[in-house]
Amino acid sequence: MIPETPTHAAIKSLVQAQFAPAAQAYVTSATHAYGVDLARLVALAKPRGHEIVLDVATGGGHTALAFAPHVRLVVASDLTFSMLQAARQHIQAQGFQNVAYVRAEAEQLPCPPASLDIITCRVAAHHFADVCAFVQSAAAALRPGGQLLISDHIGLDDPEQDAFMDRFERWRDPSHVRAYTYAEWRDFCGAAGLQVEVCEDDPREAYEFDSWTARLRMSEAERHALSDWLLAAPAHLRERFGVVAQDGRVVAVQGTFGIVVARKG
Amino acid sequence: MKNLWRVLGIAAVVGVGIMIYRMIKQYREDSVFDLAPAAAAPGQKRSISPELLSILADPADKGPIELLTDGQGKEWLVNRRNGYRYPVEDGIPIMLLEEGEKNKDESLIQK
Repeated sequence: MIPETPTHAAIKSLVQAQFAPAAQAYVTSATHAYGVDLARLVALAKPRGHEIVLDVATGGGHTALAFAPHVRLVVASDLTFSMLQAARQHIQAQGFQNVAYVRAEAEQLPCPPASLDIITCRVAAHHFADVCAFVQSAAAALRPGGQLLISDHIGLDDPEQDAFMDRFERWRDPSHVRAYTYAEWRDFCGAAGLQVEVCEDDPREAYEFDSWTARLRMSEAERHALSDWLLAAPAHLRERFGVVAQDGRVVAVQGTFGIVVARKG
Repeated sequence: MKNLWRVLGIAAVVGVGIMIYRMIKQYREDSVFDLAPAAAAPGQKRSISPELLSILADPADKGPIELLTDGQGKEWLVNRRNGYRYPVEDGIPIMLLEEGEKNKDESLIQK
């Protein structure tokens, strides 16, 4: 059964409970540390060296680290304190000193109006309690001409596929609120006065089922149940989401990801 | 009778002790920002750079904040319009609205 959508406060608590004990796992996670979208985000932003960047929900700090060599200052923000400490340790170990760390909520960014050149948010917006408030807050903090770059799970236009993906993502991670479609991102950005310039798919490798479920400490019983549920799905859905089984257990499943870039006029 | 005076004496000493403790506690709370320096004390490294400070705002009203150090050497980011105080922990500003509200100090408000 799909869990009910929790309240704003409950989502914040879930996110912190989910990520605080797993902070180091997100620093070392191959999915988060080595995605090709990191270089793509930098390429799309085209920084010239003078920019101030805010990386919202920095997690293991990978996006902040990707931008640090190309801009003047990166502010890495996250709701979870231990994630920030883990990110700082990781980034400082790479020798970058132009990264600052701030604990903040995505929906209430602590930045003055028109103060930032670039705002990034990678593999995080699907956790936000109020994604519209986040986009509004980001738009207010951007200077005219500034960019908001989102890299995240992307919802699907086909309702059956979308519901299937939502089910397995939320089963594995109860703090997964929603993967939004490109059309929804266009709506959020448009309402905040941002013009969407890029919507592009980010074809990622399939999740390696064991490490994907272990990172969020799913119990063995839940992993079995999720695996059985995926294997019992109709063939067209198993094919669409790249479900691969070995010895009666799922070993891989595929999510959908994409990049959205919007600019403030 | 002698025991009664002894008990009263002890009670008086305890009472005076409590009063002194409360006075000291109140004084320390009142004077928490007496020593708030505009710049770092000699040899003391501030954890928030001027550039970072310039792009931080109170999440409540998005207005500017000041970096103050209290009498115990703890740093706070303070909004003098509403008295909200955001703590700096392990060099990381905690810019959560509920933290600002929780640590609000109306004596810091400048009209």
